[in-house]
Amino acid sequence: MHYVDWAVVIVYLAWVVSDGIRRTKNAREIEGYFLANRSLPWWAVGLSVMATQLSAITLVGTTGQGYADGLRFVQFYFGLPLAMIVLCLTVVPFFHRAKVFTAYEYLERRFDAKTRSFASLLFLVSRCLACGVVISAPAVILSIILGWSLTLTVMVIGVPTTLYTMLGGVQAVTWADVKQMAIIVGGVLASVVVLILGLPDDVTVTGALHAAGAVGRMRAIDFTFDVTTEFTFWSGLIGGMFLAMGYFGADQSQVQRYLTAKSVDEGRSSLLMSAFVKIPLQVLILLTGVLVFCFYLYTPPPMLFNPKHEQVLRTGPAAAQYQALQTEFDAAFALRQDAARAVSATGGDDASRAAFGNAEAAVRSIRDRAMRLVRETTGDAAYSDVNYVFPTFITTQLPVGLAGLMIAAILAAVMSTVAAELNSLSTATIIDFYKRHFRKDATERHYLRASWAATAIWGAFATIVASYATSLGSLIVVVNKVGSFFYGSLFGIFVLAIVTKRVGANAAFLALIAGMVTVAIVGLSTSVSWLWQNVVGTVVVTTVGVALSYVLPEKAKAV
Amino acid sequence: MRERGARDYSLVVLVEAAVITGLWLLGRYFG
Repeated sequence: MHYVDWAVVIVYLAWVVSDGIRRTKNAREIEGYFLANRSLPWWAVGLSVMATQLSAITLVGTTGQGYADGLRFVQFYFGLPLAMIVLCLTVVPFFHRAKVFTAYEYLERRFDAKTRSFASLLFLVSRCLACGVVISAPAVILSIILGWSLTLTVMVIGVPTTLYTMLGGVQAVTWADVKQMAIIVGGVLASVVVLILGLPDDVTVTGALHAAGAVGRMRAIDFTFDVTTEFTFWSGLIGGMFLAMGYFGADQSQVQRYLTAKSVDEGRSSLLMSAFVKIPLQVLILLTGVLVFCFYLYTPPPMLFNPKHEQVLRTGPAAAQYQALQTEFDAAFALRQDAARAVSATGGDDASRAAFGNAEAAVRSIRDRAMRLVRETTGDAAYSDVNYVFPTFITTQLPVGLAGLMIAAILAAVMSTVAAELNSLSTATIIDFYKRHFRKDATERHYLRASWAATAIWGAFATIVASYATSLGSLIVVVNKVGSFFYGSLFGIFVLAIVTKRVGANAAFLALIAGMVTVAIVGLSTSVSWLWQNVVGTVVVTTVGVALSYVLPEKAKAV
Repeated sequence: MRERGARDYSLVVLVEAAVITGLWLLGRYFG
């Protein structure tokens, strides 16, 4: 990268950290530190909610998914707006009026201490696992693309994030999120403009999209009802709705965002922002990936997008085989380029689309053989270079300055997610465990210092985990699945707490365990896709909870 | 701030339906 790009990245890091430290003065007691004294405007909270959800692996992985698979992944988000409506009507007013610091604190008021501690512990376990991966997955990609060591990349992400989160608390996190969202959206829009301008003069955007459409990249909706298929309209709408209800309603890293809002309605407005904007934003990110595919129809792409593995093959024992594949790839690319121009020129008639489909299949088959060669040479059976497509495009094709801005956008996406997670891990540790079980009546100053220490410890822990985690592609899936394992059941507990009056503490606690055991059985012994596990968890917990309330009658506690 | 209510939630559903229909039409036109 050019030194101007490095300057952009350095200015971004300095700006975020210095602004975070400047906010230390607003966090002198724990309500200010953890909840900004419930004083933030809805639009800042709304952007923070979105920035927390949008991690770097979403930005890099989703563009890669758009490149390789098209728009289909957007269906994953179809349940989110409906989930937001349910949450606006249920948990947002309940949490605000109960004046809680954590979602789990509410569970003690409604049920008992053990249900609160268990739910909070589930959150700590799943979030601290996720936090390490959220740092390490993009760190591995950036270290390869930028030529840095993995440890240095993890430090560049982890240290500044921990610093501003620790010193500035939730206010630093939220206002950094606002800036980070602006950088991410601005960077993606600028990339789209560059991609469109990068098409040859004789190819229109519509013509290029016809070529993408000819190989299925523009097909976003699949109405098939099949619980074993990962992304369909129905799994996104129903499974995605339950996942979003669990994530936004029962995960402290999101609940804490809207607890900082000035009022119930400001909290609702912040969630409705995601309800309106999330799907169009994901379409924009996926479409960027589709446009990268279109761009590389006319500009020769690398055969493999991971430069490290390309180097291994080029110089290793399989060099001759790799060179032969490269020659084949170049010839197939030239044929595909002509076929794509024909699709564009004819506006996508059947004959040109069929010819382009064949040419694309030939390119893909050579790439598949090259990837098989990587797997055999490196022994990495799960190798895929989809996550390297967009970073490679950024560093090799974007103009000076914009490349730096996009690297800053990727860093912003990681940091905004990690900051919210560290802040919420610290809140749950101090409020649900330290203050609840160990030091009930200490001074504000004592709790503030303990909160600083908790944030620093979680930050150091996440950074160390990220430095040592190596097989990351599969870990991302694992973390998503682990999330689905918890979220449905956790959300079920909140449904019991808010909707029912008759379910008591013991029935709720047993129902939570029953829900998790059922999800584990479904996950391990059937081929039901993981998005549906969220539905299973919520339904089992609520049904078992209500049924047990007839066997274990208890007097409901007033909240 | 105006209280959030049925009108806002209906608008969310309408906008989502419009976006999904738009995506489906996009797929039909280009795909």
